[in-house]
Amino acid sequence: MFGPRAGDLERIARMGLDAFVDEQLAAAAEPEDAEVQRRLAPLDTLSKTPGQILEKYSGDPRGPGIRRDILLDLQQAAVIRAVYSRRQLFEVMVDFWNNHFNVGFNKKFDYLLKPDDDRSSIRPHAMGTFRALLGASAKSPAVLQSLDNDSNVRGKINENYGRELLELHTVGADNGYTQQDVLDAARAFTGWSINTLREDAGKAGTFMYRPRAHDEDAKTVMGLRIPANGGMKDGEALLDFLAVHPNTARTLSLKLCRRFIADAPAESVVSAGAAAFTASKGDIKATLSAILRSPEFKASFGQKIKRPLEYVASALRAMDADTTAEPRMQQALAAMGQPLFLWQPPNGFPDTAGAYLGASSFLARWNFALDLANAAYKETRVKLDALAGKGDLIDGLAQRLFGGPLPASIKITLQPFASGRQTPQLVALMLCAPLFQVRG
Amino acid sequence: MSNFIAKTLGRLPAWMPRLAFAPTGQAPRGDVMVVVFQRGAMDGLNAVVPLGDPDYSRLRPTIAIKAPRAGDAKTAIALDGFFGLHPALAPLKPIFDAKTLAIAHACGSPDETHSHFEAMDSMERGTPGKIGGLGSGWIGRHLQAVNTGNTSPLRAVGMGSMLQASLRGPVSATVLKSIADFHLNGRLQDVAPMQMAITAMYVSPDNRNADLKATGSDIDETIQVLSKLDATRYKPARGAAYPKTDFGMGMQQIAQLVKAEVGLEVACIDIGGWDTHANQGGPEGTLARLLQELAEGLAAFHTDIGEGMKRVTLVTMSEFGRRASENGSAGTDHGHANAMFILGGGAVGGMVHGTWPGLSQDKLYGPGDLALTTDYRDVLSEVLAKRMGNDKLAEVFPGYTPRPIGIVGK
Repeated sequence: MFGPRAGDLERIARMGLDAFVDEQLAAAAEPEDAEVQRRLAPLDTLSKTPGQILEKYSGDPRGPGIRRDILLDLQQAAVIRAVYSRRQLFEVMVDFWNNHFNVGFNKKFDYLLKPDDDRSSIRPHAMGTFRALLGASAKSPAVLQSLDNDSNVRGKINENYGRELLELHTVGADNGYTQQDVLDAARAFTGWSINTLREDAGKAGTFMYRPRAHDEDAKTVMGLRIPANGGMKDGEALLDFLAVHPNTARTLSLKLCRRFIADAPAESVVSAGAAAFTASKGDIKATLSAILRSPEFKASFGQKIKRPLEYVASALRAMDADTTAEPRMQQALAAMGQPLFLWQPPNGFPDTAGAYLGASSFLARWNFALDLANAAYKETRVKLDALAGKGDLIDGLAQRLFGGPLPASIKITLQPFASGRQTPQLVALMLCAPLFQVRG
Repeated sequence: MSNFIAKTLGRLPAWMPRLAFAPTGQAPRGDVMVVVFQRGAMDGLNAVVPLGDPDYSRLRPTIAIKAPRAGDAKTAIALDGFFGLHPALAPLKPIFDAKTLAIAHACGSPDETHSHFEAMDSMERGTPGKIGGLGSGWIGRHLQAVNTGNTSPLRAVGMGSMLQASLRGPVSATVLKSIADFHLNGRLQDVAPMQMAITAMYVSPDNRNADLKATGSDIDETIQVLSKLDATRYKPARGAAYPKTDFGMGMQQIAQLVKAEVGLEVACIDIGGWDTHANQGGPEGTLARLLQELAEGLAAFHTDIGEGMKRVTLVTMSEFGRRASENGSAGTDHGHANAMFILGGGAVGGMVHGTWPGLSQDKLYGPGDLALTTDYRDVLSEVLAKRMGNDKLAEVFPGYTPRPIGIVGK
């Protein structure tokens, strides 16, 4: 799903695409591969609570400058998982939900909270039910802070979370709600807040409901009546309602189809995904199954231009690279237009090609390919000689990278680079090629 | 690198010089238009403060900017007896006084939405109020409507990493992050033949993806042009000091492209972070820092371009304004009308244009927003018609009849 490794295409051809999809859907329940765990071990803030992160860096003269360490741990882990995890579909979904529930890493203290959000909200529920995921997100301190719900209190409504819950997390922009609905949604979540360091150092940065900050008057959101004096049940009732709303089903299905099939997916598959979502009461696996077993998905290969993370991960997978996804590689991703976890607005990185086809961003892909083949990444090793196998160098590499031979005109262009000493240049050019920019 | 590649490829830049008299079918080139988009919705009420409106300070008990007091740098800067500038916009005051900065207030997109993304999208498409609307952006359609005979790959440039939606359209725009970094990494003698091979793969008939084809040749042509600029040694003129931020560096690079005469007609640039829902501050704080970055960037650009500003028109815009009253967290929620700045030789400067609707309860719009009295398309239409030689405004803003407010002169 982040691109084939050697032998993957042959294996999928043998077992059939549907069987492969089933295998990937089932793999979500399995534990993380030992190899991935070994590669993640040095990235130690990944497993820490906000309190433990503060403890680790207590007295660090950089102050908020420690955010760079935390960011790199998250960024490198995302690339490592994309490259090495057997659970490819699961990791695609983690990336999808991290964008769906995007938080501004550099907003206030979100850099302390995001590792916990990724670990405790997104990953456990990425392929569970949407209601559980939405509920975890609504109690995730990173989300609450990013959308200012920590200051949304009775009599002093801050409508940021209420609005984005409707617009971005569930039913979709201007899709059946009014300004009054936004306001009442925000009121339903008054008091959903975060423990502060001053209140309880041990629980700093964890979810806390503040009953006295809750607006206990009745609310109505999109026709759902929430009676007075419901306390925390107000928010839960609204999440129950929104999580299975038909507009949510459709909005999520469209986003998933855009991710897996095409920038402008066919209506037929969007409806099929929405129907599966509704029939399963918001089961993410059932929805994915409908989309990934559709004829539209099977006809989609070669259509969708890879996002930068996919491009980088697919190159590293195809070349069987040994990498830490080092900081310089993260800079390359940033130059390509996808600095992981750093998209600031709450809607997440765009999932359409246009966003990444800008000249500077696209040129950065070519430079990544050149740097990778020229061994410019110090913590990344690629055995170029082992890539091609025996026989014609270009054909061998093409088989490995594209699963088949190259068109004649492309092969002629590459021929001058096919002498023995120039393998790095040839490999770089093949990673630069238009064919490697699209999902195979 | 420049000469080597130019010789290797045997090509010259394809753009045309500025024409005094255009050949038949072509329009003469107008100004360079620079469009600054403030993403996240600037609080126009604290940027250009309606000091004379009795409701302003009542609605904003903790964040209001106070009326000017001599010697107090934390108060507003008087503009005209009614409006004042936020103190962090001080670098713009001399430009306002020199009458090359004009402001439009209670101005913006009439779109009803309070969604950032819907509002930006419809504003940049130039089709407010229409979901979906046209596939192209308003600048994209301008470039299509006005044939200046300019085939430079840098005719239209989006600074940053993603193409601004306003630039979408059949005339391809180049997205540029860094002029200095715009080349293939490696030794010159290695990368020149590789550059040719890559371009050959992209323009090959075997590459059937039209988007990739366009991007591939755009990069190649842009390398040809930019390799002739000595980007790393660029020194802004007259001591202009740009902020050391993405926005500041972007403005500096636009200035460099303007001065190098590489065929630039339109540049778009973004400055983000304006979504100040909580603790936005008054004369200091989050909003003040953003305004300072904006003002320093614009002022440095103005200084750097110097006399050349007579042929440059810069416009700022933001998807909507912010609620007239502050919220419970000393911030402001999404609102409606806003303020726009016009900078350059064409600006009818030194004044705040538009009709002030007032902030009393009965004058507020929707959930309590500043009402809109000038459509942003009125302002843009004036720029396009009077400065950019566009007499086909109906193609840019279909179905809309602009009402000029006299903010730009011929």
